[in-house]
Amino acid sequence: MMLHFVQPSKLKTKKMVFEDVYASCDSTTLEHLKELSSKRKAIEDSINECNFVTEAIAKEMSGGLESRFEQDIHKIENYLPFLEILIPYADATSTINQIQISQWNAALKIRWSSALTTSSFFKIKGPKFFQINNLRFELGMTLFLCGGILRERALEVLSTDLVQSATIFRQAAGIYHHLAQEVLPHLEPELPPEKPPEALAAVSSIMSLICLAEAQAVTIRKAEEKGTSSSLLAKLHHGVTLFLEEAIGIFHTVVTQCKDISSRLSEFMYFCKCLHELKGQQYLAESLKACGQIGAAIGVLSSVLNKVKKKIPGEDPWKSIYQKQIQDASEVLRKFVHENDFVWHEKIPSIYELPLPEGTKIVTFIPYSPKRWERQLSFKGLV
Amino acid sequence: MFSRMFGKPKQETNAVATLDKLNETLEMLEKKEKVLLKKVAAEVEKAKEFTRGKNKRAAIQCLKRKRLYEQQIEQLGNFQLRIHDQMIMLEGAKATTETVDALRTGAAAMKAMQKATNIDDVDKTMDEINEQTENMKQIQDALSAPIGAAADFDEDELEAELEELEGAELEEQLLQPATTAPAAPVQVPAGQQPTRPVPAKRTPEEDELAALQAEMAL
Repeated sequence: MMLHFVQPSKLKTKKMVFEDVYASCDSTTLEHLKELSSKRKAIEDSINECNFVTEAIAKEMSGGLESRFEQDIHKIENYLPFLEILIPYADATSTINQIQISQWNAALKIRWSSALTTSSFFKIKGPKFFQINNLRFELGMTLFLCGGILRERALEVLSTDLVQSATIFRQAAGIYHHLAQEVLPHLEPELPPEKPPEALAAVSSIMSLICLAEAQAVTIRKAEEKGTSSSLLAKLHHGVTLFLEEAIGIFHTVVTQCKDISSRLSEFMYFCKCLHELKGQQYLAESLKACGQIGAAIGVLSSVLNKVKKKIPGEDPWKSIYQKQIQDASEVLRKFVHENDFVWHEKIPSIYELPLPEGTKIVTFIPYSPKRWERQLSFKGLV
Repeated sequence: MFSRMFGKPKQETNAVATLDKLNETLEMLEKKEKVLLKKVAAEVEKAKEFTRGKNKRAAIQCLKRKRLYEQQIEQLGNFQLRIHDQMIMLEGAKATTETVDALRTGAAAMKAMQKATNIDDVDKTMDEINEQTENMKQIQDALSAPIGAAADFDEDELEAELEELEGAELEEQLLQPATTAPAAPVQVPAGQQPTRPVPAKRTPEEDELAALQAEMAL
């Protein structure tokens, strides 16, 4: 039922060595910078797939975590508190300090690839890297990556623990929300014309809504297991479409300012929305039939099937999942039509007389609170 | 020699699929029967109302429609019976197949013995099978016999039925007390009635939603 969109976890980056660039005044600061570089290298090796550590050793290094996604999240969570300490220095007030910080950040060469641009899907010469000399760019891309990997982790545990899966999706939504509200708005004035979509606050808003939609989809799976009533299941599925419609609306504004953002993201949201709309209307139809309104039930199913058949995903696995749902709904419609012809002979209302779907959103994001070490750093050249 | 007389047994999967389809149709027929029974009850109620309103012609029209629905119900019953009959035969297909296989084996064995009396036994068995088949056909013919549905209704019968309804209505009225005195008015002091707020009840759907949210730690 759930389509898979893996791109947000596919960022790549280049090596950075903080201690070679930032001039330390004391050994504590130098040690901090070395620790920062070391933790970042662990992330670099993971996401650039240059890691030659065996699975057993990787598990031991991460303190017993089995999942590769869990290991990556662990590395990022170790890196972020060290990085957060440097962020206040990026907001230097004096002109002299700003000049010094800019020189250091330029020397750092903060470079990240984008997984959401059109060119990243062709991969002719490897990914294109964007360099933006701002520590918030480093923080933003790291958090974006963290949210993406959390999504993959949530999908990984989906088959075994629905509660944990939904919770992880909500955590990812919280990280993207934090990005959109607290981190990226400060960065956007500093962005060059050529920038990755991931650096835009609006894209993080989209990802937050997608994560909430996915969390609600997982919740629906639990509801279906419990044998929840058709009318409530219909509302929950339409709640997912509400999240996705909101995200699609934001995407249309993003396209105007970032023309090379991939249409793959848009297609993912569109087809997910169609699937949940189809499923929601199917449950609505079953609810109407139980109330003795089989004519309206047939009208609802016919209408939504006509709508979702207009556009079909071009590739598997999206295509086969999509067509399976259409096939299932078509079979239900066939049975309803047959029964109406045989028993009830009810009139099928026109599309304008059909009951409107009602959506209910029941999931919210788990707020993200950045952690940072309480440590006083001292740099040469800063007053 | 005997193997030519019997084709290959019917595929098991076909029988199973057919049984599913027959079951589906049977469910449809049962639903339709319920709908028609509701319509019959509705027409009877209408006839009673028209009788109370002294509209004899309209009441008789309702009774006519009632009979039409009853005829449809009877027909549906016959349809269901035929489907049940076919389902029973299909369910017995495997037994029939095994019987034929056994007969084929028996025939081969008897042929090997080449005794005149054994040949007679086989003939006797086949005669019995033919007789059973003939009986089954007669039953099917009896079931398929068209119902002797009279196109015209007997007006006298309908009027008699209407009089029965009137009689039943009259008896019901006679059982009531002759006079019903109005209840004595109860004096209630104005403004002293306590107003109790009705406790708000959650709908079953809201309960379901709350349970789901609790279970998912939302």
